[in-house]
Order: sequence, then structure tokens, then C-alpha cells
Amino acid sequence: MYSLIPHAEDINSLLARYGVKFGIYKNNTYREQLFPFDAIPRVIEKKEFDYLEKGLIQRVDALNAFLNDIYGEKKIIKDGIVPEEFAFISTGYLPECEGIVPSKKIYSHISGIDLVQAKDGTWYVLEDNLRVPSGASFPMIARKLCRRADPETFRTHAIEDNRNYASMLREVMDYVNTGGINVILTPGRYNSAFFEHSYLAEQAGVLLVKPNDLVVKDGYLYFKGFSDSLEKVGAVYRRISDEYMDPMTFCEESVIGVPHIMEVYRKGNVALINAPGNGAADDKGIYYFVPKMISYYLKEEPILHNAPTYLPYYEEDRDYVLEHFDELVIKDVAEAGGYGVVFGNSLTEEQKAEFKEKIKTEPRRFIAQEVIDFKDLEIKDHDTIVQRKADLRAFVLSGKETKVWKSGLTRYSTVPDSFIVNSSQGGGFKDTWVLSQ
Amino acid sequence: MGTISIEKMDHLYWLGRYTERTYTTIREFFDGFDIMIEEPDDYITYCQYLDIPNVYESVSDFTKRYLFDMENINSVMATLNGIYDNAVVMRDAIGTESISYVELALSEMEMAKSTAESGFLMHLQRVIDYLLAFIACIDENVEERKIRGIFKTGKRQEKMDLLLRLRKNKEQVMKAFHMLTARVLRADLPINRKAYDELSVLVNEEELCYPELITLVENLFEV
Repeated sequence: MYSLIPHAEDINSLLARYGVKFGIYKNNTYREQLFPFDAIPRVIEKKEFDYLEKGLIQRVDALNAFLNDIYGEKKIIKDGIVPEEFAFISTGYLPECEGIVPSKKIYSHISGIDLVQAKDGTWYVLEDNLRVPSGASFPMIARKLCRRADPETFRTHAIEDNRNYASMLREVMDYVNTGGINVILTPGRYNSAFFEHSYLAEQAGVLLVKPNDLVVKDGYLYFKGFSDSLEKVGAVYRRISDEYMDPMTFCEESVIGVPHIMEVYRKGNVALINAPGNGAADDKGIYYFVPKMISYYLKEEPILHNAPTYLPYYEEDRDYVLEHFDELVIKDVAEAGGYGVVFGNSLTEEQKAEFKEKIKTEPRRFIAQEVIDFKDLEIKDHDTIVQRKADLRAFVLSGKETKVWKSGLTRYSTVPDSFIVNSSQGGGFKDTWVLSQ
Repeated sequence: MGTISIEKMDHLYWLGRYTERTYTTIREFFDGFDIMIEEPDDYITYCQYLDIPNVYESVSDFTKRYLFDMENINSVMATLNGIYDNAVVMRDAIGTESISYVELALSEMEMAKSTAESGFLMHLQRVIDYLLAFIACIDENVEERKIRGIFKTGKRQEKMDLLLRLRKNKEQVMKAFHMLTARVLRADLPINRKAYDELSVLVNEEELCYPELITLVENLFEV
């Protein structure tokens, strides 16, 4: 696993050459920056990945069942597994999606499940990302370039090929396509994940479009060609948040949406990947109930563990959280990207008192988790190897079958002892090798 | 991928124009700078020759700002960034491999900027090498004829426009005109037929009327 280190400079110059960047806004200015890459891969043994794969498929199947249910019959509510008021006050739940049955009944086609491994080797799911999870393009292109910089490493190690992500995506798009072309819908160049949007479009062989390239006519969605030609669209892998998707249905100020696209979707005339309304299942509060969903829908024991989580919404949990505040990490359920995460012991007494008050007045807004002592990964930092916290975003694709991409995005913190690994906050990434034997 | 949007057509067209502008500008700069080695004040003549405002204080100020100042819309750095801005949104059509040459050119330009005066010309040489590789990569790898066509149309129009602005001789202008005509006949972009017909007449006159020709070239396509 150290064999790529001597080639790190070559790999990083190739990553720069191929424009592997993400966008960031700082002080009201947009700039692109290279995503720091560490040449020491995360290695997952075959047996361990087989276990993760089973657990991830189980989890995503249950989440898809939950979404079908919550926008349909709501049996899980009626049976008292998930409290009604809890499910429907989630900001991710969209009443506008009630009764809509997406193509092939799949809601979450691309699920990004964030995991961490504790020091004892146990894997924990930290978050389910079922809206617009990003990041697969980075390890995919990094692998291609690592192979170019050091073919010998890949000749001598049995590593699952991860360059098939775009074809897996295409397979999903083709499967749910309602008749027409496939497109990837991007808000545009200044989105932080624009590299990914454009790279996946190129690699999957589908059109990259912006909202004003699409138009709704007679209940169908069309792509507008430059000579006034219209081409029917059957599947949209949209990289735009729910609230901006359609100004006629959601946020009416949205200028990056496609007016009336929800009407087409409601009629079953286009597949939206991922389905709008998925936030009902990846809300940080709903996360608490995922193991219960697995038992309820699949009649199976959950394979993967949740991090021990408390919901201040429940009085008993709230008392525990207030009492053990210093030992917990508190998360604002409305935030993402590493924002809204507070470690209890990092606050001053005054801040603690203020935060505790917030928990009492807005209990639904927060969850609290035991701090998992992540297993550190080795990172090359200049001339030395150092230990840093890292997580793993596994990508699960749901089409004809539910499949786990045999790789993932391993993000690490560049700051010693920091648990924040997000690229927007200075984190880097490394390749994830899944061994094939 | 049989269709492209109006916006992408526009990006492709400007991609062609900025690519030609940057390439030709650097080539011209090489000749101009060579004269400035012995005659530092020749940058003033050079600005007149290029039809750009002389906002510079000295040859060294000219070199620095004309090449590298992003705030100066006439600078090579600004036009090179024009290539990048139009290329990066076309990744699905022209490919990551093609765009990588633009990334290399930009990185080389940054190196030129931070290099002492004596060395920057070598970096500029590599910038145009990468631009030529970029052009070849599009020609070689982009399967869709229309995409190649729009890019080349933008390039040919810019070439003609630049040669006229630089008051090149009739032989050079005619050569550029014939290459532009080949693109016009393929009709990859909606053409202003009236402008083209007038251009065809005027360009064949013994004495070239440069300002009129420039206006016609600028109005050739309805983009």
C-alpha cells in the first residue's frame, strides 16, 4: 500500500492536468481548487467488503421501501414504528410528492452512505445521503491516473476495478428511463461539484444540460437543440436540490429549475434521479429509525450499526443528552457538509448553557451521538507519514438490482485530531482499494 | 449525442475564437518582442499595430500587463482564461483529454508569469504548443462533426478578423478567407448571407478596405 508514494508527485500533476477540482465560495468569491490526494490508499479486504456490501444493500433497500411507504400507504407510521409528527415535520419530507410513484418504484438510485471504522474495527454508518450525494468521480479518475503513474502496483495487487462507476450509473439511468434520452442536469459551472457533473456526463455518454436547455411541452420533458429541435428526455440525473427543481412547485424564486418538470414526473413521463422528497429518509433525525426500518420492511436484523444516537425529541434521550453533553457530538439536522456539528466538550460554559437551552426549545432540530473514536488512517504529509481521521462514502446504486460500487470516496482530515473530513473544509481524499481475493 | 443546446453552441463558437486569438496573439507577440529587445519603445507601435489602447508605461509594464494581467481584457492571460471558461463547460462534448491541454497551457502561463524576464518566452512557447495539441485533440477525438465544425468556424472567423486588424497583406487575408469560406459552406452556424456576399466582393478588390471588412467579418454569423 506504500508503493504509490514515490509516484505521488506524478499522480498529483496528472490530477491537476485533468482538472480534478471542486469549487468553493469564500468571501463571496468563487474559486476552483484542486482536491488534495493522498497516495496511500485505504485498503478493504474482500471479506470485510463482502460484509459491508450486504449491509449497504440491506440498508438502501430498506430506505427505498420507507420512501415508497411514506409517500404512499404510510404503514410504518400507522404501525407506530416511526412517530407521525417526527416523520412529517422533517424539512426533507415534501407533501408535493405525495402519491407519486417513480419509475420502477425506485426513489434513491444513488445513495451515498457515510461510514467510519472505529479503532476496534467495527464499521458504523454516520449518515445516509439520498438526495444528491457527490464524490464518486474523484476516486474513479484518481484510479485511472494512479494506474498510469505506476502500473506495477496494479499488476501485483488484486484490486477491484473502480473505473466502472459511470457505466453503473448509465445502467441505472437506462433501467428507469421512461422513453427518451438520458441527461445530467447541472445548475452550472459555479456549482462546487461541477467537475463531477461534467466528468460523469462524459464518461457515461449522456448529455450535460442546464435548466434552460430543458422545456416541458404537452406533459413531456424535452431537450432544446440549437436549431429549435426538441428531443424527448426519459431520465434526468439531476444535480440540483429539490427546492430549486421546479419553481412552479417548490421555491418560486428558483432560477435554476425547470418549470413544470414536476408535472411530467407526476405523470410518470420522466424519471428523476434521485427522486424529489428523498430528504424524508436521510434526515439526520430519521437516521435513528433506519435499523427499525430494516426489521420492519425486510424482516431482517440490521447488518450495519448506527452510531449510538439520541433524539432530544424524546424526553428520556433529552435528559441524557443534557446530562452527558460533554461526551457527545451534537448535530443540527438541517445542516450538511460538516456544518452544524458541535462537540460538546469544545464549548465554553456559557456556550454550553446557551446550546442546552436551544436543545430544550427546539428538540427536533438536533440529534446527539456518542463520539466514535475513528480508526486513523496513514497520510503522507510532506516527508512523514502521519495519522488522520477519515471516513468512507460508499456508493450504492439501485436499478434492476441494488449494487455497491467496489470502491468509495475516502475523505480525510488534514488537521490533526479533527473529525471534519469535508473537502469544503480543507479535507483531502484517497483511493479506496477493495481487494478481489 | 446528436444535439447540442444553443448555449453550448455559443460556448463552442467562442472556444474557437478565444483559441485562435490566444494562439495568434502569442505568435505575433514573439515577433513584436523580438524588435523590442533593441528598441524598447517599440511597444507603442506594437499597440497601434494590434489596435489596442496603449495603457502601458514602459516595455516592462507592457510585457507584464499585456501578457499576464487578468484585469486587462486584451491580455493573453484573459484570452487564455476565455478558452478555459468555454472549454470546461463542454467536457461532455470535447472530452477531458482535450481540456487537459488547456489546463496545461494555463499552468504554463502561470509559470511564465512567475518567471524572471529572460525565461518567460520559453513558457509562452509551451503555451502555444499545448494550444496546438488542444486543437489537434478536438480534431482527432471529437466524433461529432457538428461540434468540430462550430469550433473551427469560430477559429476561422477569428483568424480572418485578427489578420484584418493586423493589416496583413492581401495574400494572407485571401488564404484566411478561403479557409473561412470552407466553413461557411458547411453551414454549421446560421450565417448572415448578405454579409458574406459583400465580404466575398470586397475581399477580392485590389485595395483592401480593412475597417469595412472587419465589420463584415464580425457580422458573419448570427450567434
